[in-house]
Amino acid sequence: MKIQAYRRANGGVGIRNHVLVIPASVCASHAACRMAEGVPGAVAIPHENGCCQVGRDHEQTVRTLAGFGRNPNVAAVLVVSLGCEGIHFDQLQSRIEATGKPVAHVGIQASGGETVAIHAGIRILTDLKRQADTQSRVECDLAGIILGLECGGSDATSGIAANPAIGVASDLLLAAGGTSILSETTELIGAEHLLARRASQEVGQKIMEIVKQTEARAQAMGADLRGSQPTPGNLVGGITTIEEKSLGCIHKAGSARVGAVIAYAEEPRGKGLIVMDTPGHDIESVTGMVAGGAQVVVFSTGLGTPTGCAIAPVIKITGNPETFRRMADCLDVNAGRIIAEGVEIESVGRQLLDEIVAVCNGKLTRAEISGHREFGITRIGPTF
Amino acid sequence: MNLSELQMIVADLDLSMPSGQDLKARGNSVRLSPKDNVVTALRELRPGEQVKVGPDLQEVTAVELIPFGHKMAIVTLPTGSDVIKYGDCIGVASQPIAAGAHVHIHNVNSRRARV
Repeated sequence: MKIQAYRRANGGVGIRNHVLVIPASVCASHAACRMAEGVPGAVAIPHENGCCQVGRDHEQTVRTLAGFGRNPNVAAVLVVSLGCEGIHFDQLQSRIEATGKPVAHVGIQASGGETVAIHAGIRILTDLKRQADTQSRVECDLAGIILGLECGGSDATSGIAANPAIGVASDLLLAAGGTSILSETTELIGAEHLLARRASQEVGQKIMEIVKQTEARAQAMGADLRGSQPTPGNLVGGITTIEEKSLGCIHKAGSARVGAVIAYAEEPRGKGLIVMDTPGHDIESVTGMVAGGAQVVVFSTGLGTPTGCAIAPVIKITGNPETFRRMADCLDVNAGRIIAEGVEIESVGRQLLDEIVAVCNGKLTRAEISGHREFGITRIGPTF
Repeated sequence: MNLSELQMIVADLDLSMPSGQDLKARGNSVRLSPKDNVVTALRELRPGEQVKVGPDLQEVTAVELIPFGHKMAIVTLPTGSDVIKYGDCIGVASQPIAAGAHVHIHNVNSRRARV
C-alpha cells in the first residue's frame, strides 16, 4: 500500500515535516521554547532533564532526545544547550546528523547570554524552515511506517471494543510490511504469559523479565502497585485489577507474533510486532515509541484524553459511545459503534487503518489541530 | 509477512472475542470468554434485572446495581477463588461473592505487584 510522505536521506519515511528545537537540558528549555515561538512551524520539546544524571539513566535521556531528532517526521533540528550541562550538545548533534538531516547548535553561555542565543536560534530556524519547506510529499510504501500502540484513561470498553479494533488495524499494517510497537510494560502485568506464548523462547523470556522488573520496581517503593494502577479513572470505568487492565491492553497488539523486545526509546531493528519496555504513563510511553522511530500513534481511551505528541500525530479512538459524544473534541475514531450498534470489530479496525493512512498522507488529528505538544522522558535513576 | 501467513497465525491463536453482532444480541452484558465467571455490563443493570449468559442463554439475576462497564458474577465465587475474565485470572475473591453481585475492588484483590 502506498502513502504520500517525505522521503528522508537515510530512506526513512516521514509523515510530517517538523523543524525541531531540542534543549540539551532543562536549563536550555526556556530558550528553546522562545526560539520555536519565533518561527511559525518550528516546535520545541522542553523537558526537566539533561543534567546530574548517571549511567543508564543518562544514556536513556540522551537516546530519547536524539531519537526525537532522528524521527523521520523531523526535517531539521536545532540543538540548544546551556553549555555546562551533563549532556554535551555534540552527543545529540552527532547521533541526529547520522540520519543525514541538517542539525544546527546554539549554546547560551557561548553566545554571551540568553537573549543573544534566542535571536541566533530564531535566525537559524528561519533558514532550517525554509530548507525543510523545499521538501515535498512523494509516493512511499506503508511498509516504512512504525505505528505506536497506546492506551490511556481506559475503561471496560477499551478491552472489549477499542483495543481489539486497534489489534485488527495493527495486523493489517503488519501484513502490509509495517511495524507496530506495543508498549507500557506495567500494563502487561498479568497478561505477559499470553504474549510470551506468541514469541520465540528467547523473546518470550525477555517479555517475562521486563514485567518482573517492573513489578519489582513497584514493590521496591514499599507500596502496592494498586495504589496507582489501575488509576482512579480506570476503577470508575470498571477495571478492578492490573491483571484485568493488562488483559484488555494486549488486544492492541492484535494476533501477530512478537518479534523482539527493545528498550525505552530504542529503534526497532526488524519489522513486525515489537514490544518496547515503557511505563504505563501515557506521555512517557508515547515519547519512548516516537523516540524509537514511530511516526504515528494510535491511542485508545475509554474516558477520553486530549493527549498528543510534539512531532507525531496521535489518533485517538474510544470504545465508549458516551465518551465519543462527550469528549468529541479529543477523539478521532468512534469504536463505540461496536457496543452501541453491533458494528463488527474488524470493520472498525479496517476503518482505523484507513484513518492511519489518511493521517500519514497529511490529515491532521484532533490533538494536532488543538496544538498538543506533549513530551516526557522516563527516568530510571535518581537525580544527583 | 503476507496476509495468508498472518491468517495462519491468527488461526493458531485463541483470541476469540465476541463479534459486534454478538455484543448487540446479548443486549445488556457480555461474557468475553466461555471460561469467564463474570460478565461485563453493557449498560447499567438494575437489581432484579436478568442477564443471559452462554449459548443456552442461562439467566442470572443482578442482586444489586451494576454500573456500565462493571462486572457481575454469574456463579457463586467463594473466598480465594479466581475471578476469570478474558478467559484468564484477573484477581482473587477477597470475600464470598454471590451470583448476580457486583464484582470490583471491594471483593476482588489483585495477585500482582503486592507487598
